[in-house]
Amino acid sequence: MATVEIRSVRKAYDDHEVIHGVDVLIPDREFVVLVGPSGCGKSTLLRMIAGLEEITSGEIAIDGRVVNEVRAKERDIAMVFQNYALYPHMNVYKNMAFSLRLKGMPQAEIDERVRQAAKILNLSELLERQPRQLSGGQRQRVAMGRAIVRNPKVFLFDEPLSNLDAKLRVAMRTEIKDLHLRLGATTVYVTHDQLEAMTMADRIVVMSEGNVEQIGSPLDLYDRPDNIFVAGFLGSPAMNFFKGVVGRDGKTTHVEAPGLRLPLPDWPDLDIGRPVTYGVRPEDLELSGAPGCNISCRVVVVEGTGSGTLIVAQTPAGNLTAAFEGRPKAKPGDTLALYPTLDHVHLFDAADGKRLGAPT
Amino acid sequence: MKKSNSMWVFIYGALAVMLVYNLTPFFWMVVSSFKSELEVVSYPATLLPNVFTTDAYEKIWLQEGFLLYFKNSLTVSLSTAALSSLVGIFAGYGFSRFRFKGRLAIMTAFLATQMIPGVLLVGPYFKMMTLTGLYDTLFGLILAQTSITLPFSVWMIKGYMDTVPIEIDQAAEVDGASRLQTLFLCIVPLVLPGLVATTIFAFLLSWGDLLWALCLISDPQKQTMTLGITQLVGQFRVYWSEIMAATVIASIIPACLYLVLQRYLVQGFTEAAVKE
Repeated sequence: MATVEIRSVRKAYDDHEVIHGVDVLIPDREFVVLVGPSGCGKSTLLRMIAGLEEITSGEIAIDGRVVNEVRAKERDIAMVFQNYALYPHMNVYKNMAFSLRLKGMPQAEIDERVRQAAKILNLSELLERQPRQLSGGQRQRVAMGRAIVRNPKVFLFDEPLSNLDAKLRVAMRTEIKDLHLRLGATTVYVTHDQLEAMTMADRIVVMSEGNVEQIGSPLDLYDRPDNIFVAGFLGSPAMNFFKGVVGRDGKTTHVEAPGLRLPLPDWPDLDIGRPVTYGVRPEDLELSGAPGCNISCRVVVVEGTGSGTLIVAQTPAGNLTAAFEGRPKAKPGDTLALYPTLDHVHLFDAADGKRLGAPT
Repeated sequence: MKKSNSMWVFIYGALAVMLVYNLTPFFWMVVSSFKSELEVVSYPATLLPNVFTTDAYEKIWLQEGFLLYFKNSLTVSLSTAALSSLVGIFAGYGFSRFRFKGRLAIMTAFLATQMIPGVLLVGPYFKMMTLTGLYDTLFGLILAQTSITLPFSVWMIKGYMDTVPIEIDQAAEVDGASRLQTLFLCIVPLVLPGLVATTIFAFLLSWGDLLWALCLISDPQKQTMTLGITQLVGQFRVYWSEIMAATVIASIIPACLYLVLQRYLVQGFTEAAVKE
């Protein structure tokens, strides 16, 4: 296994730069997820690690060796593609054995490795099947099997679950994570699904428009997003944002949004009148709290999720979403007072969207 | 919408007429090849031979040198088909997978050559072949016919390769395959039906060629089947039963190819539209 170092990497197609100098250090055995919206450059970055895209400038090193000029086949990496990319004319066994055959490995060893990988992935019964005879989940497992038989330095996954239905995706998520724990391989995983990123990653790299927005553990990113983009991207339903200015009423500080007074905890070094964006996650809104520290709103939609309830409500400064455990009694048209958990309120600079300090 | 009985009668009637129209020449060719030289020109014509004879076959095969012509045709057609498919595989892969300067211009030029009637190219080719010493050689004829079939092969093979996802190439590359290994172990097997269809097409084009053989071959030892058949039309007499026998023989190879490879042929010509 190996470390992956990405140093000031840029990628341009003709004059159009799509990756603008990215730095990421992925330690040995870590499971790193590159996440971001479509077109943010995450797959391009992964393909540069794989050697399937040229690097315009900067360096990528695998296990200490700069691989900019090293061809994909000599990088000792394995990649699982979004559409599986199984060889349709080869059965499962041959698909998994293909790379080993190319290496000229003795047949007995090939057989041992393929059967071992098939056992790990519950594919032993399917070795003679053709890819077209397999379900989506089975094909994805074969694609993973093709990767693990090689025992590579780094595993790369390019949105491997996006072609699967929701239920299977959850199951495969667990399988991939379990596989990582068993093999302990350095893994770089690309997805646009923040839930996948949150549940699978040791560390998440959030990307937007060819830049890295933030790197950190899932909970770190969730609890302390560096900017509005990360705050809004991670979490479902997304964080509620209100634009306003910092105000003070006696000893208490708040954010004055159009028609709304949004409560704040004690917050040092906050200039009165400063334009800010106030952020609060749906699950950090309560139905009760300290007097005066509430947001008054009118219920628009009540969505029962089974385990909880989502309430979409209208405020003078825009709609907000609140998430509750259980089934609170509220119906469209009701007026509600929602109380933000003050410790979990986020403030961002209105101009550059960066996180502002922290409450005391 | 359910069709009425009269509509069915009309459809099957029309199909029957078309079938008769298409099969009659073949029927006439086969029965005439088994008639005597006298009977084949007798009037009124007989539908089936009064006297069934294989004289025409024996004559062309043993006396007229058609065995040699057959061998020559087979050599030229197989070589043309193989050469244009092999070059077509590399060129088709290149056009399908790489973006390079002049790609579109070259592909358009390939297509444009298909619009020039072959007869216009005969003169330049004749000159080229005489200059290079390839006039009156089977190799020269193979080269000339390949140059005619190649653009079609390249376009067809490129089209089939376009249907194979690029991720297959990338997966093979990550798995450790070289370009050549990727091409022949992963891509060619996936476009095999299309490749077979293209190869057969090139073979048949070459097999049925008369123009190039007529212009580039003069040695009787190097004549092809089609050229041999033309010689059965004499100044004062046409050897109809021998012509028919020779044509039957010439039809055997294409017919066998269709029978053996029809599965690939149909799959090859339809798969680009329906491939998953």
